[in-house]
Amino acid sequence: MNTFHLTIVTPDGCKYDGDVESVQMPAAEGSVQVLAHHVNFVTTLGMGPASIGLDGGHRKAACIGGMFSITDNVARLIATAFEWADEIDIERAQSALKRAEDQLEKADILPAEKTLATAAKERALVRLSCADAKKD
Amino acid sequence: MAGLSTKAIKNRIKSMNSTRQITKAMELVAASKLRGAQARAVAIKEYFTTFYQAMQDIAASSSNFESKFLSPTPGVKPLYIVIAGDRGLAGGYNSNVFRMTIGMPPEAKVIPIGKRSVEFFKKRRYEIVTDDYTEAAILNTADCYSIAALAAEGFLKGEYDSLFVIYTNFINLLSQSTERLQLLPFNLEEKEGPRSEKVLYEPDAETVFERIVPEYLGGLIFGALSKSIASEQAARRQAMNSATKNADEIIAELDLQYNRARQGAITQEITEIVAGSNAQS
Repeated sequence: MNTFHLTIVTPDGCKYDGDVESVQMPAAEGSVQVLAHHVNFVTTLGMGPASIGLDGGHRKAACIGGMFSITDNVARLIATAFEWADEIDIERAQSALKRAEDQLEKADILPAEKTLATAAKERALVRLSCADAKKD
Repeated sequence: MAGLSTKAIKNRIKSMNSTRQITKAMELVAASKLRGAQARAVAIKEYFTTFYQAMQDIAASSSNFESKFLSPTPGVKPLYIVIAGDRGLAGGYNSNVFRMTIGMPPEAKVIPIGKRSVEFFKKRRYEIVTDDYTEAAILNTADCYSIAALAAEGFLKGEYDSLFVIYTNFINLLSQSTERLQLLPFNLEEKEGPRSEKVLYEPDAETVFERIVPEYLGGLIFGALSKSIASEQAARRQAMNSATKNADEIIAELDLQYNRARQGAITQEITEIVAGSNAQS
């Protein structure tokens, strides 16, 4: 299978740097898969599961925010957070989910707090769903 | 030997020794914190350069590229994000940051980061947008993204005409420099040569650009913060290192004084005994 070079960077450092067969990611307008020799392409990323095809298999990850670009068969995935399924801290995500839900239940929540808590809840749900998917 | 008695000198040596122990301990603490901070500052560098390149590519992709982030609302105030330390005793770290604020117009709005920064701007009665980020050491990426979102939103609403960040760049262990960086309006490099129009954007170049600007700013602020924290620890380590060396010097000097005073006292005692026995015989 044709491969192309992919670099995944986050503020915590480089998560992957090497050749891959495919990248599936949560783009802003829905899930997108990119194969080798894709036309030059740039999109923003939402939150959701990502799947990187390499060595005939697939490696799953949770991807949150950022952007993706592929130019001349060189791809860059710049994410706010990118965690491989086996790296996800399930306990931390669960406690974050609980915290966000507790906050959303409060009657006197400010609009700004509500936005933050909703985003935190979504992030936690994405992490949990990706971590579970690994066990199948 | 003129001056202090042996007892007074001994007391001074004792107090010098305990000061030296404190500065030495602070030096070691700063050195161990520095290792973590330095790793973080290096890790973000790659993220930042890749992101910057991608942003430039998008802006260069179409010849009539326009974005609200490139054109400020005229005649409104600038917003400054000023990153300083949480504690003192870090050499010139905090005062260098504040010296950088001298050119700031008095009507500017501020988001101070770090305890010292909050205190500084409160005292000078600047308009503080939020003082939620008092402790620089505990801020994480999520906090930086909320700061960026806040700043970007205000810029689009026309509350600020520009956004600056004042931080300390970590060059290496021995040198750090205070810098002022303009984040908004976004500066585009003028690129020579033909522009490649053959890039597919989803949904389109402008939307992509505008959606990622807040994330880009968040990354930049996080980078500036990481570098500042590393600089603070490096500056503290250095300051404490020279304080320890100074203490060592003073102790050596006092030791000499003490020995001289002791010798002097013994000589005097012998002279007195000899004089006494001479008088008797």
